[in-house]
Amino acid sequence: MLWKTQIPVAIVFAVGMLTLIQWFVPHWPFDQIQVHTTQWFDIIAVFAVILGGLNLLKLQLQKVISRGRDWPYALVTIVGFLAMMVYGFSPVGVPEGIRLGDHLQANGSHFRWMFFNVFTPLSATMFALLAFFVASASYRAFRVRNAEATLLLVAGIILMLGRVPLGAKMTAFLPHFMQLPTVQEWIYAVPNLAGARAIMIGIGLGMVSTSLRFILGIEKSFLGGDE
Amino acid sequence: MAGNNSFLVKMGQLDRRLVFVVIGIAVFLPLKFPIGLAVVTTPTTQDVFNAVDSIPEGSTVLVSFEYGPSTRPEIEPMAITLLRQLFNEKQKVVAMALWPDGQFMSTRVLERIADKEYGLKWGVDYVNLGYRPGQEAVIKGIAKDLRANYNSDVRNNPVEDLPIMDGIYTVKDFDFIFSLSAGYPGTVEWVLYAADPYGIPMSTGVTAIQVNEVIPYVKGGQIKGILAGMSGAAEYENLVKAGDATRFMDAQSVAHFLIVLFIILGNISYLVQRRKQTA
Amino acid sequence: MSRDVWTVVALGMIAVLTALTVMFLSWGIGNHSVGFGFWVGSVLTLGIFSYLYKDNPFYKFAEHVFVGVSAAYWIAIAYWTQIDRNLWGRLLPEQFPQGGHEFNGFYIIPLILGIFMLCRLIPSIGWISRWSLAFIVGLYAGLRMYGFLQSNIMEQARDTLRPIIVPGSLVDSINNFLLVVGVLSALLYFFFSKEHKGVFGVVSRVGIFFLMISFGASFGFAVMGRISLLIGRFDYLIQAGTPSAGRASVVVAVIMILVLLIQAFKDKGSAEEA
Repeated sequence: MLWKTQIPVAIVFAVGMLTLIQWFVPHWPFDQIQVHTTQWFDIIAVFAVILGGLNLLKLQLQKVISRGRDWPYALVTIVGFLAMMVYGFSPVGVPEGIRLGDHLQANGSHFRWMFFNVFTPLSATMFALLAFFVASASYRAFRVRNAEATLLLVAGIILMLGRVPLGAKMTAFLPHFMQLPTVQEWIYAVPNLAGARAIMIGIGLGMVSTSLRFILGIEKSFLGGDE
Repeated sequence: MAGNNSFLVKMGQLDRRLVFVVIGIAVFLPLKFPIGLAVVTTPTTQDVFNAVDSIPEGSTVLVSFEYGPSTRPEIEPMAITLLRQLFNEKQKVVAMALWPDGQFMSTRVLERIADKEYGLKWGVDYVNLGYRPGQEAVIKGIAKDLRANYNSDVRNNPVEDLPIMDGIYTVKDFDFIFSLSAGYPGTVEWVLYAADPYGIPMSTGVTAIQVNEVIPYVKGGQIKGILAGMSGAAEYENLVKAGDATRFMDAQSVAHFLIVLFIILGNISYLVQRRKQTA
Repeated sequence: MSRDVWTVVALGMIAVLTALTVMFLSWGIGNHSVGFGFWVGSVLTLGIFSYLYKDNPFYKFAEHVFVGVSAAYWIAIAYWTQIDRNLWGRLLPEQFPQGGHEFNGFYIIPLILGIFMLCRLIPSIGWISRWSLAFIVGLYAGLRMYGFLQSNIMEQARDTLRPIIVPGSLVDSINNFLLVVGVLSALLYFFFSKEHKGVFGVVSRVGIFFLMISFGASFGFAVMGRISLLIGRFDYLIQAGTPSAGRASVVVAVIMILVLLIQAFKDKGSAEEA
């Protein structure tokens, strides 16, 4: 109980309060505490990234060893991971005269090549793929069922057309205040702003109260299930 | 009449792969055979241009790269145009990144614009400090002591040897911040932990998806203008120098037009069907 | 094959495949950096796009490469930019001079908390990672509480309290009025402690209208963003299809389509037989 629950809650309280205090007392020792605790945070964040990678490796290895469904693809993941690790942490593909670690960005480094020719096409296409699904979903799912849905659709359509050159061209014959870019700009800057701001204030209130609950030890969800 | 109606109902039930093909063609053809539609600048883009334009000559501007390959088509044209505007006005640029990919993006853009196009000097006219993990904690950290985290640039030169970093010890020593952002951490964090608490003027270019998340800050005066997605980038290029975003606007226009058409067709089909059911 | 034998075989396979992959890639990068890049990029790009037809081996292959490569990529970047310079650089400044720091023994704390974080991999001592997590949660809470209070609540409230009557400008007056009404009514909509009936119900319904317009705008922006990213990829494929890039994307596309077609016919044939 003490080790598994009370100490973590005490750490949250201490770190949270110290961070909070330095917003109001930006002098020694709090300013120095801030410089270093944020650095510690950055360092621990790296270990979280490493944890994620190792966890992935563990799961994929288990899949290969148990010959689960689609295990050859798990092999692809592992080989991809290890190959990139070789370029990241070994002298393979490090240009001459460049220290290991400085090579990530260096011209001619294989790590950099992998970034632009393997990581880039994959991550960019994954996101681009969604364009097709957004288009198909808006065609199949957006229906003027009631006043609210109609308002949503009309605002979306005006914005979509009003922000591209074609929309301007299509309505160029109308008086200025009726042209799509003008109407779009008004929707964007007035009613849309009101809605977006209400959401922002709502999120802000939620964030402040959740943070306070964490600092005061009321919220302990980060500890996971079994205490 | 009944035949017409069933045709209209069917229009709302096309196979989704047909929709995919049409969208694919709508994007591909204008890229291959450009139409050259004229770009119209919106007020928020003009605000960005004016804000950057009003920075006194010889200032040091922090440009933070928070985007990666997946959002490069939207943000990179902004980055290129921003650097051109800054270098045209003899500003000094310090680049950094809160996203790991951002460091590759900044390296690419700086090599092209600062080095090749303007022939500027590393460490004097511009420098790239690179990426540090830690999200908003990085901003909060450099708000107090930049050199505790960034002791050297990406080429491993000690920061204290770089003339451009003379007198820059915290984020407050920059005259302007520009965040090129595609999500978290990005523009929102720069507002929360640098611009608002320390009153540093800032502006931003974001992906279209992020616009509504950021627009209240823009209208509240916490951010000076906003470049909204690829069309924002094209508008900005229109004020500085034409580039990729302008070239891409034809495809963007045609695709938007078709999606709107699809929505309208889907709804006509829906309304006809609903009338049939109630009749 | 028993599980133990298979484990050894699998590990051997991984080692050999990794070595072959690295050798192949290094050969390609070393001899034909640009052209080779277009070929690899085209295979992966079109592999992902092939999902539009249906889930298939090209897509699965590309997707799994993505997961593996990106995990290692993040680890490498995070390690060299932070641990190498700012952790080892402070604990062992002589051995790691690139950080440019002086010795600071306090940095043993984040190292220990970092190692605790990794203990999550071992279920029996995984609970110790809560200490590291607690540090992260505490710092986030302290940062966000103030940040959101100032920028998302105070500043937004300040800018919303605009004069409803702007002398000399009817448009500004109307816009300001709409903004105030919109923000307040939408906020009231979020207030669930009271039933949305009577005057309160009417006001919260007005709020919904403003929220819907905002969602509509978000939807428009979402479409816009996705299309932009698609344009970027198509532009790449067009570039990779030029003669100088060896028409890589065209060749890869033709081969993939042929393979998928043959597969489709085979599937159809076996379905009819059954």
